Formats: sequence, C-alpha cells, structure tokens
Amino acid sequence: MKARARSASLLLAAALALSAAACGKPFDVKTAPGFVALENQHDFDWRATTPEGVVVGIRVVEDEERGDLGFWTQAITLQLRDVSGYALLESADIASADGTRGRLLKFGHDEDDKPYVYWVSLYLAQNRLFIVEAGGQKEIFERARPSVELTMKSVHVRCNGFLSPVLSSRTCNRW
Amino acid sequence: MKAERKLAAWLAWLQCAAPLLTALFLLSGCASSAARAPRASGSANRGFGSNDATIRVKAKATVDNDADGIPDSAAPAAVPVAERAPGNYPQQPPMTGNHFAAPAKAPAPADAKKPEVSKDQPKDAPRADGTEAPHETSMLIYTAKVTMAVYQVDQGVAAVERLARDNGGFLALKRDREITIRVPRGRFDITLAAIDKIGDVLHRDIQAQDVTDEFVDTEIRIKNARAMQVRLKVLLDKANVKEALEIEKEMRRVTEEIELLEGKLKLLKDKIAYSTITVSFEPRGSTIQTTRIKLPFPWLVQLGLPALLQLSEDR
Repeated sequence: MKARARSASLLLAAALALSAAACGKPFDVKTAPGFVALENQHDFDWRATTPEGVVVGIRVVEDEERGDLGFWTQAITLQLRDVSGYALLESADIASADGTRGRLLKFGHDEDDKPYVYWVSLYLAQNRLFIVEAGGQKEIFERARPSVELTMKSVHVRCNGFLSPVLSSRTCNRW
Repeated sequence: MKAERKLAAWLAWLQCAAPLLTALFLLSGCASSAARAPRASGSANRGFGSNDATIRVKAKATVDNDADGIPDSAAPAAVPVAERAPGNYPQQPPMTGNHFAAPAKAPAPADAKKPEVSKDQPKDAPRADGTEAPHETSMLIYTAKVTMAVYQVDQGVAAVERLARDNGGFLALKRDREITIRVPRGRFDITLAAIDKIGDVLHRDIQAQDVTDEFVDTEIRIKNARAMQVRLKVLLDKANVKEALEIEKEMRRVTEEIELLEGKLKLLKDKIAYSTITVSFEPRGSTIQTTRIKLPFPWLVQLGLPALLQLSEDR
C-alpha cells in the first residue's frame, strides 16, 4: 500500500516536473495547407508563411490580463490607426477553437504604394494576452484567405484540465 | 313731416361720418402703439440678440442678383469710409473642429442652414417672433482638411477627384498622397459627407472664415479710388504742363491701386464661391505623439505589417 502510494506520488512529481520544465508554447495552432511553420522565431511565438509571403503569426504577452479585451482592442486600434495610419476596415467578436471569447480587427495599409491587409485577433487566457496576426499583399492575401481563416480559427488558448499541459499536447502545446 | 326729414338727414350724416370716425379712432390707436414701439425695440437691442457682430453684419447689406452667394455690390452708404482705416479689420477666430477618434459631421455652409424666408418678406426684416433674421449675405470662406488612413491611396485620390467633378468643382492640386479640390459652396457639406465614405477618416479640420468686412472694405476702396480717378481726369483737363505731370503720376498710382484691389476682390469672390477641401493620406503619428499618452507596453509599437512580414529563422 505504502509502495503504491510512493510510486503514485513519484509519477505525479515527475509529471509536474516535466510540466514545469516544458519550454513549449501555451497555445496550440494548426498549420493550414499552403503554409510552412518557421522555426526559432524571435519576436513571435509561432509564425508560418506561404511561398508568396502571406504570414500568420502568434505573439503571447505574459501577465497582460490586467486589461480586459476592450482595453487592448482600443489600445491596438489607436496605435495602428492613429499613429501608423492603418485603416480600420472591420471589427468583430470571435471565439477561439476552445471557445475563448476574442476580438478580430481587420486593417488595411499601403506598403510601397501597394495595398496590404493586416488582421489582428486578441484573446485573453491563462493570465496572458494572445495576439494572432495575419497579413500580406491584398491580392495574394485574398487567394490565401481560406487557409488564413482556418489557421486563425484553429488556435487554442486554454488548457483543458490540470494535467493537460503534460498529457494533451493537442490542446495546450507545451512540448 | 319736418321731423321725419330731419331724422333722415341725421341718419345720412351718421352713415357718412361713421367710417371717418372709425378711421380716426384707428389712427389714434396706431399712433399710440407706434409711440410705444421704439421703446420696445430699444430694450430688445440691449438684450442677448444685440451684440456687436449682429450690428456689424446688418450694416453691410449687400445685393446678390445672380444668386451665387456673392453680393454684386455692397451698400457703402451704411458704412462710413472715414471710420475704417485700411487693413484694420476685426478678425473673427476660425472655427476649428478637432476630432480624435470618431469623425464628426461637418457644419453645413451658411446657405444650407438658412431658414426659409417668404418671398414677400425683405431679407433683413425681423421675424414675427421678434428675433432678427440671420443675414443672408455673410461672406464665408470654407476650408476643410481631412486626414485619411494610408490604404488604397491611388483609388482614394481618384475617388476624391471624381467627387469634385461630380459636384461641379475642380482639381486644384494633386500629389502622391494628397489632393486638393474646390467645390461650389453649396456642395461643401455633401462633398465632405461623400469623402467620409471613401476611406477611414482619421481627422477632420473645418474652418469657416468670415470675410464680410474685408470684402466690403475692398469694394469701398475701389469705389473711392475710381472717384479719385474721375476727379484727377477733370483736373488734368485744366492743368498746365507741370501740374499735368504730377497729376498723371498720381493717376498711375490710383490705377495700380484699383487693379490690385480688383484682383483682391476677385480672389475673395472665388474663395467664397468655391470651398477648398484637402484630403491627405497619412498617419497622424507626428501630430498626436506629443499630445497622446504613450502606453508602457513595448509590444504595442511592434505590431504591424513590417514586423510580421519580415521573415527570418534564428539559429
């Protein structure tokens, strides 16, 4: 009885240690057909691109659950619209693949006199702010749009259950 | 029989005299109310509706026969020339709208907001409620500066140019990311509303400058200069050689002055008749950085296309 309890506690400790030592990402995302995930990204926690240069990226900002979704939406809108001159084309409520409520902002901006599209999705979970970005030249982006939408909709930002960080890399990829 | 005849004569006299008596009675009533009237209007003039601006505008009644919003001639009799030193015009501060995030509606041009006035009623006649009707011929120069987000600039510039043509205006200036159009004053508000639909308006600055004083003064100075020209011609006919030289010199100066003033008047008329709208496609960054609080989130300034699309794989 004692030995069984000891082995169970060892197993739990090992699991927790593995969890703590995990250096993976606190989210999960599916790379859509036509995209290739890039490795060792510095400013992004995950980034994927098409051969034509339509890019989807995810940033995780730690300890940014101080503000609610409205605060961050307004802060990002003011920064991009007023300071950088981006045109706000659309704003909509969305939900991540795990049902977390979020906000999608669709911007447009000219780069080198060519129109570009820039989408930003925001989610708040795990005391973190998840920023999912997608962008590219307007014409090319429109062609890749189904894959972009698929990728953005596949994002999980919440872990399901206590052991899921360790046991279920599908919902909270820590590996 | 005699009494009957007397009665008939008395009745006939009454019949004739009755309207006369009524008229006399009415006249006496009108006279007494007329005697009261100046006191009433005098007290009204000391109220809120009687500021300097109202009086000033009222004094400069102008005539606009061609109904283009620009008076054909001023009423100089109402404005003593001696009272006005050249260049000494009371300045009216420009009306400026500063909208940070949400675009606001532009104020309509003066003629768009004018209340309806009956055809029989004189333009400057007071209304039935006692308030003075707004002056119909205030000369305002409308200018608007619109800042739009930098997206599909070529299409935006082309759309603004098309709007100018559709509203009876014309293109005044076109650069890579900026366009200036001139539209008839009556189409100013409609054109601004249409520009709102072209793209994301970040900022609007609308000004209405009242140039009534300047306009009327210039007209009076032209009139005076012409009168001087006529007098000089008369003197020239009677002058000897030496005097003629002096008079011709003076005539040249007066002619030059008239030409300058006429040019100024033409320019004013043009500015009044056609409002100027400048649309620029640029970020407001430089103008609002100083006024806006900088949020202490470094990741916020990293957002945008350049960072996202600059691809690399660290080793």
